[in-house]
Amino acid sequence: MKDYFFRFSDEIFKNLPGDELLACELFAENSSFVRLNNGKIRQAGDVKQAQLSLTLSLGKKVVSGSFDLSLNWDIDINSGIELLLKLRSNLAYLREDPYFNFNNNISETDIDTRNQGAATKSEMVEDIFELYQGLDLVGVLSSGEIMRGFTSSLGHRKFVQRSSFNFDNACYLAGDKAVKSNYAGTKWNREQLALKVADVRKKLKILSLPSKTIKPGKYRVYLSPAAVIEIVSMLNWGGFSKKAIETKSSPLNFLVEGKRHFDHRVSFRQDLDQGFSATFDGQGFDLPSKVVLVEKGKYKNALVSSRSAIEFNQQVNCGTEYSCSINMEEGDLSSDKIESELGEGLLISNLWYLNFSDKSAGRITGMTRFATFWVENGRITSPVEVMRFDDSIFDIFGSKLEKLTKEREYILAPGTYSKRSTDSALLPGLLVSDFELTL
Amino acid sequence: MELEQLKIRLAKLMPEVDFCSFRYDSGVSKYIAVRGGVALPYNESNNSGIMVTIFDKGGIGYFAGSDLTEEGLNAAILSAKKWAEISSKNSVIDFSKISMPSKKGKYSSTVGHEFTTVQTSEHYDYLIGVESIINKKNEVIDSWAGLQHKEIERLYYASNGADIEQKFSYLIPSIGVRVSDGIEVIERSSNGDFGKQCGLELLEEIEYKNMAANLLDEAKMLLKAENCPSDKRDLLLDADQMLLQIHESIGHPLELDRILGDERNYAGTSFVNLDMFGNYRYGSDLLNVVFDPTDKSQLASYGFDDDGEEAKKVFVIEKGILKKPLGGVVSQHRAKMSGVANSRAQTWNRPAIDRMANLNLEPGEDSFSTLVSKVENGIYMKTNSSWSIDDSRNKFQFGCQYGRLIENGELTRIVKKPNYRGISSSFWRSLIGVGDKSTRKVMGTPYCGKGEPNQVINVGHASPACLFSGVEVFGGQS
Repeated sequence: MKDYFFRFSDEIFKNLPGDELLACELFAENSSFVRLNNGKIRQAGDVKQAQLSLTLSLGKKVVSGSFDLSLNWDIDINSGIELLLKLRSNLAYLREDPYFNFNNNISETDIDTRNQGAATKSEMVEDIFELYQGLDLVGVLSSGEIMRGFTSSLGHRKFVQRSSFNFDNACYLAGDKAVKSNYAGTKWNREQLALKVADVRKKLKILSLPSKTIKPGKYRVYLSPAAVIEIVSMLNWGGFSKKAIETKSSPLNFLVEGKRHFDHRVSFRQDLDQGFSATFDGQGFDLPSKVVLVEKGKYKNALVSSRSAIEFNQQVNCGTEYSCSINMEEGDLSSDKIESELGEGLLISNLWYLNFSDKSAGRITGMTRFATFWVENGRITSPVEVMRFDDSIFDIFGSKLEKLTKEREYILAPGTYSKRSTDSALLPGLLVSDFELTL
Repeated sequence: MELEQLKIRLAKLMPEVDFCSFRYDSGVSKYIAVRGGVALPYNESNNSGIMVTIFDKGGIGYFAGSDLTEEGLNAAILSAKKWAEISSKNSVIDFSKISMPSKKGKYSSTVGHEFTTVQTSEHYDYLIGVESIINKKNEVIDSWAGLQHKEIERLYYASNGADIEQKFSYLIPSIGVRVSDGIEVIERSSNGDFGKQCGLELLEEIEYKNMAANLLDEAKMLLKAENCPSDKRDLLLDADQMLLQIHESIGHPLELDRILGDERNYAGTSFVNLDMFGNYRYGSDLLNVVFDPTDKSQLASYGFDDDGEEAKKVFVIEKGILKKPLGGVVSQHRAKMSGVANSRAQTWNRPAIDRMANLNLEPGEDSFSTLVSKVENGIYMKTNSSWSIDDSRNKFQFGCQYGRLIENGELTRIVKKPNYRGISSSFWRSLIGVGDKSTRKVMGTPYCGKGEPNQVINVGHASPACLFSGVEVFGGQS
């Protein structure tokens, strides 16, 4: 794919007059998806897609367009030239874009970490059927290669290709009682999956205990890393975006303005080294591997795209203004002490469908989902029916934060909207007091 | 590629399997937007590919790609066959036993003023003019206006003789403004929920320019308004919030694939079960809900779904009683019950699953003023700002951009950041008033997410304003 993309770029760059600048960006994947329900296959198939974007500029005038590569040379070159001509015909009549920002410093990137996992898709499916035998398994196994490329008529040459898998699933006991689990990485290992299945079976036994229904009110809770990522995702709804901060749509406005702060143990950074996301953007900029977003509870830096860099006179440090690989500092609570430290309260494995109930004030709502347990005298005693919460991110990460776990969980996003996600997170679990349950 | 030429090629390559279908999509999406007085770069996305689906020896397999050459299609068929072979040992159902529709037909959106007959630069000029209405100094800190235009040509061609050609044309306008007095921040927008299958005539129909001016006025008033009170009172929802209410707490729970458990790991399950259809009281007698992809004015209209089933208008809830699930041919076979034509895929790279299409609440007899006059102590809310509901689509909490108190049968003070919460299974039974046609709005959203792998899709919702009794409401953080 890399050679094809570079050859395609070279060919299409021949069609430019000297004063035009053209950039090519590629998002491609060869993916397999196996969708499961009741421990059986509901849908299974392969998706081979390669979307190629052209960004044409002349001075400050800029237009972009994309099309799906067929990987048939003559067809693709014709489609590429046809699109280029169409873009050029529009370019002449459009206004200048004052925030267009392209990096004229040429650089190259070449990363290839494919084929680290020897398992074929059939072998992965066989492992799943054998290990999950007898369980009401539902979810999806996504696997295969993901490719991202960037070239420009100035001479940029960048390509990243990786292989990965993500088995996102849940095992149901009955009704809505289930244990959520995720196994993702680059090298499929049956033994590692077997350990996860054993843990699921253990938790399902606890779920079989009679459920406890609790009343709305304030509770001491432990939020697992899989629950914390849902809250952190809300921070990412413009929270770290320079444009959102400047236009007051960031939920972290109070933090930025110094009106509120998080606990001093709370630090967030964008860390591209930990994830699968590309280290370059679509305007030729190389991105810093680390950007400190929140340091010791206080706002430090925003994520700044190439456009915002011009609009707000900043340095480019991201492609799109959300953290695609967020890293939260660990604390000092040992994972094996979670239940005893919690004493009495809720152990929440997963949260679901979060949204803002008051965005400018940083107030969020959402549901508990899958395995939530009642803990008494430092021991799990029963599963708990789903509950709605409504609380402030400034309190959860601030005055209500008691402890953060020492061990953190590395989470690869299972998302597949349009294409497989390369987002990741490294997060601790949180012990929080007075967590507000409302319904 | 010309469809006739493609069909000849597909017929030639049709494999010897129990069932094989080809779904080809070719489309172009154009996006033109202005923000803060700046014309954002023009973007157009061309999309072309095909999905081959095979049922064989009980299994199911698919392959999606963009190579339409004979060689490429042959490779696609082989891959799909391979998956059908793997899954045949362990499928949720014997797919070979499903009788797939074999309809032939055509569908085309009805378009008045074609978007493409206007130069791109003229679209920008128009949008800059509209956005300038809200892009004012002083309180305004952000403003935007945009037009998304999509054209899609879709072919469904199958081994059982199915041969369906459909052409869709969508226009989705958006507009919004954010204001601040240095302390409070208020946003008023259209939410992009006015999209339809149509041409530029939509902009006149929704009074796009007037909408801009109204949004700014309301945003300024909200900036000075008090918080929504926290108590239990009657709730009058405008049609543009009913869109969300119908979508989340009727549409999703009635999707048959959710009831069958397919979505339990992602989008969730449903508080509805198969035994409820035909007898369960979903809402009050005033509640009548139809699944209607045949209303060509809406965002999610079509002649046939993506399994080739012909679209028909069907009552899913009639006089409050639950009648039919939203399930396509595969789910109907699995559940052994009838459903609707709603197998839909986002585009060529995703398989069809059960979707909503147009799901509409039928108008009643009350004018807006009659609905208001019925309320002693209540609140009117419009335009969604926040949505959250549990995975069985029961416990919900929704927020709106605009609220206005109703006291002794009259609209009184404007209140900001209104929210309400409830439980689907009891909420619809508290429906005490349904607006007439004059309160009805035809709306929709292009952002309904679901499925593994994930897909977003257009859905349409038309509704009148509706009145509910005794709802828990609350405001923003004080």
